[in-house]
Amino acid sequence: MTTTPDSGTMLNVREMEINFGPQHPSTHGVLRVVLKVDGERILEAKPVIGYLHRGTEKLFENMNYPQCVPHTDRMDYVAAATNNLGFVETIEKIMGIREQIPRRVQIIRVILSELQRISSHLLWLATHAIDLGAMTPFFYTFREREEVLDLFEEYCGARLTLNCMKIGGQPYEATPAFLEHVAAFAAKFDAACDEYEALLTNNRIWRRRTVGIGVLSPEDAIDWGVTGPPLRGSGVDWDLRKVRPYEIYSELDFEVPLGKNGDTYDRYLVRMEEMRQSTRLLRQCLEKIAETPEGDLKAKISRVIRPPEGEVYHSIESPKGELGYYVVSDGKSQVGYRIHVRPPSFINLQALPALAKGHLVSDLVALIGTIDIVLGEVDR
Amino acid sequence: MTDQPDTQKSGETPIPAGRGIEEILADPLLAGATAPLRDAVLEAAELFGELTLVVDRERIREVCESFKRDGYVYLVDLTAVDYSAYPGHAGDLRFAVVYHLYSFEKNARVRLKVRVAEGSSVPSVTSVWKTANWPERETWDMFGIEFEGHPNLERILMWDEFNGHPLRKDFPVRGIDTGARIYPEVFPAGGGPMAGSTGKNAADVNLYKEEWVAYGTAPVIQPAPPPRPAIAPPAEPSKPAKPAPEGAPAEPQSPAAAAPPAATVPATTSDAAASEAAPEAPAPAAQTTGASGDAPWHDETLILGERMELAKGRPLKDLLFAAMAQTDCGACGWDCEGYAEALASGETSDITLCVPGETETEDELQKLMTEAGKLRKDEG
Repeated sequence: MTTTPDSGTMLNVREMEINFGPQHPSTHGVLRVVLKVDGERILEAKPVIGYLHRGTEKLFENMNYPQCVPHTDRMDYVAAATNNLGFVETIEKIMGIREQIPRRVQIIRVILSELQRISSHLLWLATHAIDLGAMTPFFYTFREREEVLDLFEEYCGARLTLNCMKIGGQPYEATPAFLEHVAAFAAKFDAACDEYEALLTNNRIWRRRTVGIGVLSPEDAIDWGVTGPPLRGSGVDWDLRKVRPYEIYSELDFEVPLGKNGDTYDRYLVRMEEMRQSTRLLRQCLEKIAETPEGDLKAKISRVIRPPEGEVYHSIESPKGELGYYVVSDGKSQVGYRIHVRPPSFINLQALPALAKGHLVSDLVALIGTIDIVLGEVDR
Repeated sequence: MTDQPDTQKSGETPIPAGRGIEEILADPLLAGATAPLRDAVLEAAELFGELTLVVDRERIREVCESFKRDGYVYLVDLTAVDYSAYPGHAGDLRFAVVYHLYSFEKNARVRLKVRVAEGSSVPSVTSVWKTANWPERETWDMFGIEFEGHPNLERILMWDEFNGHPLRKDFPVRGIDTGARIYPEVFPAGGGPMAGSTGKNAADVNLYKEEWVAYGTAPVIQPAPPPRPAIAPPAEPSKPAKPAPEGAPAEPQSPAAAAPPAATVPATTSDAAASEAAPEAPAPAAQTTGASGDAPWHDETLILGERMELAKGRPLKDLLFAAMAQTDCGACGWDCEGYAEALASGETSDITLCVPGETETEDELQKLMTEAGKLRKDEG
């Protein structure tokens, strides 16, 4: 900690530099923010990252394509299914087998990714609320999140690092019991959302802590490359599930919630509504999956995954934003020549200094929460 | 992908192409942006429905500005590929920096590529999109490609002292010995190949090291307990009524009076003879300053009021000394006594340097200095 005295003036103005993190519980992992503060007021915030860097992209260049899938789990580790989905779709795209993916597989993938969106948003809501001093939502949201994790466990045996998708198909069948449990969850989840909202939406403290905090204009959001709920919270109607639909999203009926003011409160409302829309999607998927034959789980592709020469960029709407994979294949090898990940958290986090400027230190906690970062994904 | 027109002219790695370059540039998605800068585009290709343009390195910023004007307001991703190990690669231009742009109006993505030789730099596009900041830093970190005009081209995922670029193809996946060590005085070389120092401030490192040594290896010396006459008498049950004569007359000796019960402790001193002599030389070693108890306030467990009480009536230097936090932390550049002397002698007039003392110490120092006429009332 250093202080810069300014003894020439009447007021004792002191700029202070403090470290926020990397062991601070509200930084959601190992984010370090170097703050320049004047009292409680943030003059400058500089995020320092890399504490969780594991060289995932380097590892990808040294293992064949199917071996990469479990490594994608470890990036956004609270949304493993969407990471898997982005990766397997990219490889399917470069292999030119997107059209051959059986319909049942596509529906299962949508079910898993929407469940994952719910569980990721629940974790976000729990930690965001607890950061701002609301303890109760944590217990409510973890009650439902536990059920989602149980569903994942029922599907693939894992709860967090799922590894639940394969290039060209799905590893497991969605059993009638599993679908029944998903239906039971979807039936009651809207009521649970009402409970969370009853605790927060009109809560005076919650509003004082979130309304007008970290306002991001639509132009700035686009300039910063912000995607996902932060972008939609600023009122930009852009969701990859709508504008560049993948799997069966083009057939499904859902709405993209938008904010008006681009502040922390709007981003909260957007995510709450997204959870409700996800339940809607789950219900539609359950209807559609009943019409598909069981056991049709794999496209007719060779056992060895060796994509043709070329490069491809493909992205999906992960709970945090646009999750993209850029893959370069040399056409001769089962190993990707270069696999680059475009993580939404990494890009969204860049906007933090602009959001935090002029706010109080305690608001920084709200801002880190509202961007919804996962450091495993930021650092890879 | 079957024929590769126009791509072989530079002898570089070919990009598989479908349509010819002129056909691609006439595409409505590209025409608006590329028409004014036709000569900056070296190659064009289309694969998997994705458009790729290879652009002149010197003019990439111009091209990006043109694309942004044409509606490509969102920079999706920026990364690089090291083609040095690519089958059939020849020539100097081993890297390609890859830009993915997106237009909301057209709902279209375009990939731009710039071929770069080792050691040459690329114009930064941070002035075009704010998003480019971190991805360019990451590309520099991972590939060693410099971006001209970047506001802050530092490492982002690896630590600052790292001396390699991990995503280059010639960087071994197991890592390299960077030569950097954490606290080399404590952990000798060979502690681990990936160990790196993050502490830039040598003073910080030494501070921690001293704490470790004090905590782990050196004997922990407790300061002598303050005189407590009321406790001593019970050792002699025959004289319960007269505690005062022993404790009161000789203040400097009272620590010695308390010492004998602890005479079994000197096992820390190696010499047996010394341990016998110990009662006569009572623990002055514990006092780092103010030998023979001249500074009874030099005890960080005392609160400010108690310390000032102990120093009452002493000269200014001692009063100032008592106002310090007594931790001898060194943050001001002296130990506590040194800082007090410096203030008293006029060597410094800055009263804000005592970090652990916070505002409490500062206020007290201001009061003392003002009373002594060393500070004007409105100063500080």
